[in-house]
Amino acid sequence: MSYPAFEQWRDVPLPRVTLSIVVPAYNESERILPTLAAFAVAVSGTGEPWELIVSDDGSRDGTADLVGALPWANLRVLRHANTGKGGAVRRGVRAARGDLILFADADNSTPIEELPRLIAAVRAGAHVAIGSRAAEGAEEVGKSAVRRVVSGGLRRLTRLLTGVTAEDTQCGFKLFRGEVARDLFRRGVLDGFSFDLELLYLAARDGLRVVEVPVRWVDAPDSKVDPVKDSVKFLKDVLMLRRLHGSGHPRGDGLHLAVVTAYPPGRRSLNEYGLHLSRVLADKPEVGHMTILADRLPGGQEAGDAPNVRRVWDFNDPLSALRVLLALRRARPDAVIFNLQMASFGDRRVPAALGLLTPMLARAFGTPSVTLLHNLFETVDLDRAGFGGNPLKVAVTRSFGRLFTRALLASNLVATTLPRYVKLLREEYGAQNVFLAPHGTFQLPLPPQPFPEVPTVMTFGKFGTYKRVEVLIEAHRALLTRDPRARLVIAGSDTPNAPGYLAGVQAQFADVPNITFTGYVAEEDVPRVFSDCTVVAFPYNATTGSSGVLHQAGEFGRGAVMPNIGDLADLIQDEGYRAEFFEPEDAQSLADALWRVLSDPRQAAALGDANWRVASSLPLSDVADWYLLHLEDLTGTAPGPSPRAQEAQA
Amino acid sequence: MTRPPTTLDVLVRRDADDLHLSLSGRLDAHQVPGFLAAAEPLAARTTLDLGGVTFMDSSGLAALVRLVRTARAAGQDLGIVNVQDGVRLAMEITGLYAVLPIR
Repeated sequence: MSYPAFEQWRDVPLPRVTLSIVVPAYNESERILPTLAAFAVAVSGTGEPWELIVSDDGSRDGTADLVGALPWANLRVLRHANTGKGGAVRRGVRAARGDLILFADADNSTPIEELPRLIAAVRAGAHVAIGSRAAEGAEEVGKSAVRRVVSGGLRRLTRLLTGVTAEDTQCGFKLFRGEVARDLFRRGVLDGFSFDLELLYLAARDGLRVVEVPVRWVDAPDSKVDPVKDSVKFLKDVLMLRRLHGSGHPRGDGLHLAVVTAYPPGRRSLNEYGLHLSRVLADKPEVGHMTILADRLPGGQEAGDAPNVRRVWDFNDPLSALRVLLALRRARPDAVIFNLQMASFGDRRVPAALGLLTPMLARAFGTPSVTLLHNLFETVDLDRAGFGGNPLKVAVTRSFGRLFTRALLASNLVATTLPRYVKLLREEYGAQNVFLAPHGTFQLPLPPQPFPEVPTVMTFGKFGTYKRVEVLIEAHRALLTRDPRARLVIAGSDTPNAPGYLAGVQAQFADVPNITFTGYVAEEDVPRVFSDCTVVAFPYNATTGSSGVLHQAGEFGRGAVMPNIGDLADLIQDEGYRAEFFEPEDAQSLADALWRVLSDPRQAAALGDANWRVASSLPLSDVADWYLLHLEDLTGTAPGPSPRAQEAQA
Repeated sequence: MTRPPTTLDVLVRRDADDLHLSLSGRLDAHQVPGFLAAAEPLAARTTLDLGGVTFMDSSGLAALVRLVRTARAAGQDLGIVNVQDGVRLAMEITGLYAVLPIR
C-alpha cells in the first residue's frame, strides 16, 4: 500500500535520500497541490528514500505559503524573487541532496508514474534521462497543431546550431545523476525558458550519455507556453549559448586536462596507471577539469563510469586516432596527456602504429600534447611481447618502430619513466623535449600488514607473453620439498595477446598442490592480494618498461624476487628497490632465491621495508606536480614570462 | 508503478433511479467536459466509482465539487467510492476530503 508509505515519509525526516524531486513553481497555487499529492503517494510507494523541493520563483498568488503549510517532513520550500524557470530549478538543484535529481513540472503533465523508467535508464548508465514527447513510443495528448509545427522546426534548427541531438529538449521531466546536475547547473547561466537547452548543450559538449525516454504527456490547456513568442526567445537563447560557451571552458577555472588512456573497468595495459594519474591530477588545485578519453568496452560495462570519462577509441581500431582527435575537438582541453606504451592502440601493426600518430596530430590541430611513454621499441623484445613473426617482419616492425617513436617525439613533450629511456631518446633521436617522470606509487602507502603465517609466493600481472608462470610453478614444486605448506598465488588474467594461457597452465600442472589462480584482480582486491603474500615473484623473461608491480610490492611492503634483467634492474639501481635475483628461465635458481626470503623472516622484512620506504618517498601525486610544472609552461599558464609557451603557440 | 493512461474512460450504468459511473484514467482539464456530459443529469442515487482514477488535477476536483453541489441543491444522493491513495491525498491537502461524500 502506498498510503502508509506516504505517512511514513510525511512524518519521519530522512537523513539521507537517493532521489530529489525539484518542482519549480510560479503562480501555481491553483494546480500544484494535486500534483504534489500524486508525487508524494507514488514516489513514497516505490520505497526510494526521497525528498521533495518546491522552488518558488517569486509567485504572487501565495504558492509558497500554500505549499509551505503542508506538514511534510521531507518537503522543503525555497523562496526567491522571480528569475525565470531556469533560476528556480537551479536553486532547487543546489539544495538537492539526492544521488538522482528529477525536475518535474507543477502540473504533473508527465505523469509521475513515468519516473521509474527514467531511473532505470540512469541506473543502466545514462548520465541524463530526459522524458521525451518525441521519442518513439511517446504519446501526446491535446497538443495543438500550431505547437506541433513550431516545435518540429525548432528541433531541426536546434540540432543544427547546438549539436544537441535530443528530439525533445523542452519536456519538463528530466532526471540527472546528482553530480552531473550539480556540475551542469554550476556552469549554466540561463535563468529563463531555455535553461534546459543549455544543460543539454553543455552535456552534449562534454560527451555525456543523454538518453531520451518516451513518456506519456498531457499538454495542459492553460500551459504557459506561447508557441510563436517563445520560439523567438528560444532562438535568441540558442545563439547566446553558442557565444557564451562556444570557446571552451571559461578561463580562471584552472587547467582543463584530457588524458588518453586505457581505463578500468577495461583491462587493457596501463588502465590502472591511467586511473591513478587522472585521480591525482584532478586533486591538484591548478586543475579545474579532467576529461578522460578511454577505450570502449563491451556492452554495459561503461555504465559505472564517472561523468568525465568518454569511451571514444577501440583497441585495434585503425580509426582510433581520428576518434580521439574528434573528442579533443569537442572537449577543447588546455592540454592532453597520452598514457601510452607501444601497443596501447592495438596488437596488430596498422592500428597500433596509426594510434601512435595521435599525439603528433593533436598538437598539429592545436592541443598541446604530452606523451607519457611507458616503454620504447628499442627495449621491447618484440617476439616475447607478442609482436613476433618471421625475421623480416620483425625487422620491418623495428624500422617502423623508429619512425613511430619519432612521431611520438613530435608531441610537445615526452615523459618516460626511466632515466635510461630519457638518455636513449636524447642520444639516439636527438630529442630535446624529453623529461623524466618516475612511475610513482599510486597511493601514499599505509604501514605494511604483517606477513602471512604460511609462506606464500605471489606473482601478479597479465600473463602469457613475456610474463609466464611455468618456471615459477616448477620452482614452487621444488619449494614444496623444503616446506610442504608453501603456497603459490597466481594473481591476474591472460594478456589480451594470449587468451586461454592460464587455463592451459592450470590444466598442465593440475597435479601440483597449493596453487591458487585468482583470475583478474579488481582494484579493491589488490591490497589483500599483496598483503597475503610473503614475497612477490617476477617470473619474467623480458621486460617492457617500468614495473607497476614492483611499485605495488613496495607500496604493500613486500620484497621481490626477479631476474636481473633490463628495466627491472634499472629500477633496483635507480630508485633503490631491493630484490633477490635468479637466473632467467632457471627453476632451481628461482626456487633458491625464493627460499632465501621464505626461510628467513628477517630477510623478508628487510626487503619489504626497503621497498616500502622507496614507495613512500615518491607517490604519484608528487610525480603529477612534475607534469603540472611542464604543462603550465606549455599552456602559458605559468606565472611570469614563458619562452616555451610562445614557442608552443608558434 | 504501472504506466497510467493519459485519458479517461467513463463506464455509465443508468436505471430509473440509479446512476453508476466507473471512472478510470486521468481526470484533468482535458477530460472534465466529457466526464460532466456523462454524469449529468444526476439520478436520485448517484455513485461515482473512482477506483481506476490515477490522477485528478484541480479541474477534476472542481468538477466533483460541482456535481456534489448540484446533487445537494436537487435533494439527490451522491456518493464517491474507491478513492485511490494519490487522489485521496490530493483531496486531503486541498481540504476537500472532509466535505466530499466519500463512502
